[in-house]
Amino acid sequence: MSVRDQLRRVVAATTTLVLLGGLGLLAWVGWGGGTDPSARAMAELRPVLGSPDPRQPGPPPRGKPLVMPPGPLVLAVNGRLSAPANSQVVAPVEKELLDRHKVDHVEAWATRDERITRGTYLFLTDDHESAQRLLNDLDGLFDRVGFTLRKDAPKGVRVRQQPLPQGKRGPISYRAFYVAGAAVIAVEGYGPVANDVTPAFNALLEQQVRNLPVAT
Amino acid sequence: MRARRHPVLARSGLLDSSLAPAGVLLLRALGTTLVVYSLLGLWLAEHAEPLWLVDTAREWLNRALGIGEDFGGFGLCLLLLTHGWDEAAAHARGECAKDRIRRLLGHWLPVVVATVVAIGALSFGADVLTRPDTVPQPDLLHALGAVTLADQVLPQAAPLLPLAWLVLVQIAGSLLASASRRTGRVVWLAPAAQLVAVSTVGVLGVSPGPTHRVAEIVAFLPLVVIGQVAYQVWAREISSYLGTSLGLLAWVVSAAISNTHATLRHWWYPVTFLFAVLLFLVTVRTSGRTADRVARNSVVRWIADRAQWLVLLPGVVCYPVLDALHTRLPMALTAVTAASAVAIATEAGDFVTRSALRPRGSR
Amino acid sequence: MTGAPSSTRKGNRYLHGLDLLRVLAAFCVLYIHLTGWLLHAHHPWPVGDAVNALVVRPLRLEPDLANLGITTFLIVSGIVTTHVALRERPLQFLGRRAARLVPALAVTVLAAWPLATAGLLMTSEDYDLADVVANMFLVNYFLPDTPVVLDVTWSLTVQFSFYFFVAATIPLLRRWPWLPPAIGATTVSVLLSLINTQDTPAEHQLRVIITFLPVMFLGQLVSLVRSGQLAPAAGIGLGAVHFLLFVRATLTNETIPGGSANPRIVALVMLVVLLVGPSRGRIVTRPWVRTLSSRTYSVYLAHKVAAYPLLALLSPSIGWVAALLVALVGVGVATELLYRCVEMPINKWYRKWLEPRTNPRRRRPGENQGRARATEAVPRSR
Repeated sequence: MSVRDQLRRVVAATTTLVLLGGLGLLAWVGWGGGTDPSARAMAELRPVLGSPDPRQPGPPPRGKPLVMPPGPLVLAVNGRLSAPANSQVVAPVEKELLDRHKVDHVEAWATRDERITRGTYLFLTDDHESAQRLLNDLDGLFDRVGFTLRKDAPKGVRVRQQPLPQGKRGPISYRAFYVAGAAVIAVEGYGPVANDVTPAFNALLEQQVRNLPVAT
Repeated sequence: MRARRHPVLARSGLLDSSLAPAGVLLLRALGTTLVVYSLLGLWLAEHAEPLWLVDTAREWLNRALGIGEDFGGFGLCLLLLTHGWDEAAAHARGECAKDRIRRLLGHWLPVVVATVVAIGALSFGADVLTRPDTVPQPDLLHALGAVTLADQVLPQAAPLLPLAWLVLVQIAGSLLASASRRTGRVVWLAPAAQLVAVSTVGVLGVSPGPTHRVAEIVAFLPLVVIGQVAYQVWAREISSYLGTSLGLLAWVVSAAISNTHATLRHWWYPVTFLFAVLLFLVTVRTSGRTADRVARNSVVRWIADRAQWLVLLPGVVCYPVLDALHTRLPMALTAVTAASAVAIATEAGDFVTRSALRPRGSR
Repeated sequence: MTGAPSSTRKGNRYLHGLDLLRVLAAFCVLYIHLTGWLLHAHHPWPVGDAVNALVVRPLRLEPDLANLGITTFLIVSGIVTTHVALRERPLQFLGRRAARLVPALAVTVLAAWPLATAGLLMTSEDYDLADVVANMFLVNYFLPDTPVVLDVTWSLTVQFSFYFFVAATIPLLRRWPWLPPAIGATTVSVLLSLINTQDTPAEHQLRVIITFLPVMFLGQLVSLVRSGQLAPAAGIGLGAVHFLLFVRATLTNETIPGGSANPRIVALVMLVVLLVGPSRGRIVTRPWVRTLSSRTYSVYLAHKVAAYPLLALLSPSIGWVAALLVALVGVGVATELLYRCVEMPINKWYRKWLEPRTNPRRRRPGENQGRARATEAVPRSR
């Protein structure tokens, strides 16, 4: 084979490889690397545990986005809101709101004992801005039914409480919302005696924010 | 069984890369390059400096394969395996005691030079790779500890050259191999005896105490044994089944010791060991014309011949350069400059020691 | 799982080591499914604990050696099928693979149907005839609301996809051997970008296929380099691309292939294949290794169908240890029946009667003898 033939073969092979590589690259740029958008958003919501050395051999250990409240478990959901089994996770009015915001992935833990019912919820939206809009709407929902805004809430968290008609010994209900990545995190606590509920709710909220910090 | 004779091994003097089969030489060059790369990665991690290449390699290769430390431990494993191979090849060639001493001196002399450079750099307040990170102003005792390699094993000592343990394992491996050959004419007894010795130290070092740190280093000795066994199988001194059994036993010993030490456990060394051994065996087995062609490349040979220098000098040469330049130059350019400084220092050190170690009358 | 090793008698290049690897892979698959049943039934399983403690945890593999066997099968299958593709025409290639694989698959699914309906295969679905027919031809994986009768068949969708690709690229493979694996890499890369959701069964299964296809291409590259069709440097380069595609698939999806250890498993198996494949030692050349190796596809199909019902029915009365021993014997018997009564007879019949009729050109005088030799040199390839 002459040098010219060899050169022609090398040029042809290189051109083919460049074209093939370019096609793959183009698809990557156009449609992404292959991550399911909702899965990627969820992966970002799993907090990295500790401060791992970047040179470690395995993936950094990640925790769960939601803290499981203490007490007997009454609800554990991780899936699509549209699934029949998950239809009871939120109240119909909240469900309508979530549908309007096209939220489908939901995670939730709820526990209940004779003193208090506690819950942590995650509603995944398309992006951070959508999550911010959902937070405003959810917060507005509770505002309209008379929940008042608490001033001593952690930064970036909106905490609302139902007024206390019977003082500290009467029933009370708390709802807290904040945004982390593309998700709205909700923390709730309610029960018949405010003195029991308030410290337990505060502790749960603090734990949840420490586990998955606010991303404003 | 008749020993296989490799044309390259028929010549003399193992300090020269021309004496090793192409695959072994390639692995020595690869191991060395990975160690230098990992030291750059370590510096980046310690200074929280991002570098796209390193960050991407960590996500796509290191974490995917389970090989940590930016392939540094993996590179050192390859160097130990090739050392074991060289050791067995030298024995098969009937290397005399004088040549052996000269060969081991060739491994050790870079420690002396690197110690001198480290002390010099530290006295000027430069950033040098030490363990722990802040070593007080080094004195004569520090220097003595580093040169004799005692600071690698003494419980309270702070190693001036953190990677000099490699030299310790190489020398220990060579001495152990020499001693174990007294077991007689049964070839496989020598590696088996070495593994028994390593296991004993490993067991003694399980609990905290003076032998704990020795055992940490000894966890890597089985790789030298595997290198020897690989040569014995290649040279048809033992069967491949016996070789496989001894190799598996050596891996078990290594994995068990590394699993009993908290400082080693989180680096997943059993995975690193296995990858290094498999790559070594596959390369030796499939080493052919392509490997020969690559091994003839002058850069590859240069790296393979100067492996000891390139492992020890980056910590004392590369680090001060990186520290001095990273705020002034782009990171990639700083890394290239630091690597060039290491190359120049390596060439200078190698030139001096090669001249000193050259047998009288040879040119 | 694949039928036979790559072989050319010229230069004694028969890859005996692949026989042994296939046998070990079959043991891994059998092991994980038996372990799965025992754990599901809450039986103590000290062997499983020992394997996890001594092998899985030190090497950071997936629990119970998951995916180790299937990865080996896929790489070996890539090697073998590429080797035979170089000497077959596209339709002949597909016909032979189909004759070997599909009848045994269909018969096993038919046998599994009543057992699965009775809940003896750890499934709780109702199957109608349409479901079963879909399962017999792997169509179930692409249709909504079509339950799986025998879940081990998922890997056959990967293999069939690879076979179709190989058949379509045989002319290219002969002329420019580097081109099919390069086209394969681009195809997988583009499809990985496109198929990033799993809202339908078809999307899910396509994602499974494109995730594991690079593993089979690794086998193809081994075969091409070994046969001298491809330069080692080109093989290593293309191999690195395919490995990185597998890593990409793993990094971009949490459930397929499931578990971060899979790239590590692929790399380890690849090195072991390169090391053991060309081995010609005493053990790998033993006749029993070859005998077992030729039955690995039958083992793969039949083991769950034979073992699970026996374990479920017998363990309450004779205890799980005795039931396990009986189940192992049952797997052996079912495998032998499937191999002798379905897999081999149909394969032989196809090659002896059907193939000459569909390929009259091959019946020229003097060719039969040569073909017989070639068939012997590449025996029982799928």
